[in-house]
Amino acid sequence: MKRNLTALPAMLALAVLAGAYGSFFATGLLRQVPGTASVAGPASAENYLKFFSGAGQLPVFADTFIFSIIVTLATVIIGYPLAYFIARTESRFLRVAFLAVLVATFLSGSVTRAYGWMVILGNRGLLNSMLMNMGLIEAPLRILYRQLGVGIALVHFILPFFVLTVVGGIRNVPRALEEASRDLGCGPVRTFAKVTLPLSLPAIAEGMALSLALALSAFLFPLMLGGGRVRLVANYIYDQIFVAFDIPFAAVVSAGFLVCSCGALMLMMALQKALLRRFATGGIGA
Amino acid sequence: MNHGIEPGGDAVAGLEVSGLTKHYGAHAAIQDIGFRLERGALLTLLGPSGCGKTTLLRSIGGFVATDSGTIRVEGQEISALPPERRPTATVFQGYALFPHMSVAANVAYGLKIQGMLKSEIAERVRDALAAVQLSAMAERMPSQLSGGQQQRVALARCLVVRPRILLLDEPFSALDRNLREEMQVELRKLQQRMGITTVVVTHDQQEAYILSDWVAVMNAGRLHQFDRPAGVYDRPATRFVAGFTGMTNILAGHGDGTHFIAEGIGRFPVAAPALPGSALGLRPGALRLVDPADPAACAVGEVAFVAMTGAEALCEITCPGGALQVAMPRRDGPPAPGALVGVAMVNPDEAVVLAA
Amino acid sequence: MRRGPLGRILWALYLVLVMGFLLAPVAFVVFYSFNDASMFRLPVRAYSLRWYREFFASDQFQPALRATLMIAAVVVPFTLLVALPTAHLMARGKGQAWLGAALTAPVVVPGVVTGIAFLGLFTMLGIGDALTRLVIALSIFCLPFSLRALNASYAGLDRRPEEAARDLGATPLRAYLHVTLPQLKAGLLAGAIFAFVEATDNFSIAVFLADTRTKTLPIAAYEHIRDFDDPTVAAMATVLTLVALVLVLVLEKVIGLEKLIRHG
Repeated sequence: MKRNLTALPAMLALAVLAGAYGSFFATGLLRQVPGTASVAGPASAENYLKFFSGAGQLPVFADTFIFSIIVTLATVIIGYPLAYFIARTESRFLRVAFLAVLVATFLSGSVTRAYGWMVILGNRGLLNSMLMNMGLIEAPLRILYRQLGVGIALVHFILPFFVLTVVGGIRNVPRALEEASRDLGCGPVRTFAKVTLPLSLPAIAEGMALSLALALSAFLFPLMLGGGRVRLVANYIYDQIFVAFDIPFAAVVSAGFLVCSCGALMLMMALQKALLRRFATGGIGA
Repeated sequence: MNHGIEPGGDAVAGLEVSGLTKHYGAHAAIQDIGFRLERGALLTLLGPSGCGKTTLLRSIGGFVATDSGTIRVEGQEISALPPERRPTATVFQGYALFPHMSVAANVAYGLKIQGMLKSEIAERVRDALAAVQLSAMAERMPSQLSGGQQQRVALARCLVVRPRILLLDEPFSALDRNLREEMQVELRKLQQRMGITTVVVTHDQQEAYILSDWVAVMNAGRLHQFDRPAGVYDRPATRFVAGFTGMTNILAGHGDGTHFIAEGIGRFPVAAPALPGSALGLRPGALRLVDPADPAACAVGEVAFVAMTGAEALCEITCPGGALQVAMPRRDGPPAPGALVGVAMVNPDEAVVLAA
Repeated sequence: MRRGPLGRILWALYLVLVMGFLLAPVAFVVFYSFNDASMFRLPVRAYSLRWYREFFASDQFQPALRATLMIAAVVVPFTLLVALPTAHLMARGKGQAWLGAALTAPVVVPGVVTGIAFLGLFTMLGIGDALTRLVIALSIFCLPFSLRALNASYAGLDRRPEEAARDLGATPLRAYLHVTLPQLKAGLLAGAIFAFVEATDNFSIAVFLADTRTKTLPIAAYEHIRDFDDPTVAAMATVLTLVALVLVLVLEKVIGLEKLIRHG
């Protein structure tokens, strides 16, 4: 009785959420009334056939995945050492300072940061002005309105999520294990590679999955920093609705994209498990 | 097995447990536990970790829903009541003080819940803190107290509600040795003064002997012996109790009426019935070393090694059928390893015949 | 851990670069907001509060600021009211963890999809008021963020004080209110802050549910950037950054940033 009451709010929220997603994907079976934003029956698989036969969205899908993977890898490469430093530094001051910067960056909002990168990376922005004033370049570097600019801003957006997730994972690796490894004659680099890294791998995988999900669903950053010239899936879906008014097809594209994203995330988790198994044998076993 | 029904028990018991059983899946945490404890007595539940002693304590407190069995406090059946309606109060392991309340607020909590008048609460809290010598700490937060002080707050928090049963779960395990002994004596005095029927969980037999009127030894969910502390030590009821209380020589064999014949070891002058599969339990201190030719020698063997344990030396003697442990005062000059020695009994009364 | 001099220099260099990268956009936006000119040019000629006046007087930003605060004022308590029993259920209930897991879907599903989905649902149900739409959708969207903070609090919770309260005569509800809830204070605060930030910062869902009369700050900012080229948004961003800094200070003072990570 009491437990049912406790579950009630969550059930209600879930019902609304399920209703939203359910009705959305159901519209994929309907058809756009030409020239309008309204939809009509009867239900058919027409949009799905269009999705699977049409090559229109294929480059967008491919671009989005390649771009997101690059952004995720860049985040890991830039973020992991920082996470390691925060987790292992003996200076409480530095740890709290870096945490404060990360949390403040995280809390300062995406519009603020997208805007910041716009004015830094623009043709007449801070970076180009400085480089030109110093005489290092003749013409402004073109960074904005290209994948590079979107990528820089996106890595900046995702970095706090990744680092804050991984710091916890590294802190959970008892320092005594690292000391034991050093004691047994392993150098610091090998100790890191053989002990710290494998033990923090679950946290890295979690952080990477979060990063990939955030990169894949990026919408505001391509919109603001891509200026319509960087086409990623989220923007493609947005265009289907606000330019083509084709809600049923947008629903089908979304469904297809969700399946691909979940597949990518599951693949990553499988990869992590395989890697853990390899570490478990220590490279000695078969 | 002695299920510890207190003799002469037609008076209402302070705490009476019978047929108490609790399974977690297929695993029996406690099985058919029963005993009677007179009012005002202190019982310790003694056993290794995982023996079910904490489950039993938590069942009495109402935190574990048992499968079957009854619990009565002064005649009143409480097994169906939730913890808040039981006349019990628990000092939890780790004390479980409310971290966001001051010492005084912690102690006042139970009285506030009862809806007592503020002035009366203040007075009772003052008395309770005085009883545990913490009057000066009333406004401190639990995090500002030492382990011993926290424990006394937990005790005061229980005593102030005047429970009919006081339960303590490993109350001294977090304290260092000196403080532990001091607190044990303090608890015993306080408990006797207030006359509260008390149950203490511990894995430390020394602690059980010091504190208790009664000791219940448990293993693998079963009650093995319910006895006076001396009874547990002198006359262990089962092989488990014998081993757990440090009776390291448990010799398989059989009796012939006047002697116990330990196979491959020797003949011990202990009156034992001719039951097959029984065993003889002997503490290392119940044996002494003699000349192999001495007529008192019950067994003969070779000294395997000698260890110093303080004022005593512990010798291991290898006999054809097994080893014997013998403790002797070091001033008597322990033998050298490899020497052939005889083993005699100090006092036949100190041996226990254990049934199969 | 001991490191050689080269290692030290490399670490220091890396840390300075990362710190610079993290701070660059926000720091520059703050600097830019005080630049009097509407175009950015080095060196800066004059500083002023001109763009703050523009921001606070704007008939685009003022209603957006009010709407955003109103939405947050409803979304934050509502989110906590749903998140608290749900976190309780996930920690204590039997086999109901899937409820919480299912509610985290909006974190993985692209915001655009969630946004369109809510738009479709509200159209179907005939809910036309933008404020109502935003409040409902953002409350559900913010739920997983608060839930995560509360789950961490529940995971670190010592249950024995609650049992001690029961033991001393408190009913389950009273024991929860007197003993458990105060211990969840940090999680509630962190959950409230995360919900607040996600509710006020969301763009991809809100953009589908707002209309020309009711829009949130991110949408107003996006439209302004699209149509004008001046630092008014920098002034807005500075104000938001200030709010973020205050929230960081609150988190550090009340919970401690290090603890926030430990359960993270």
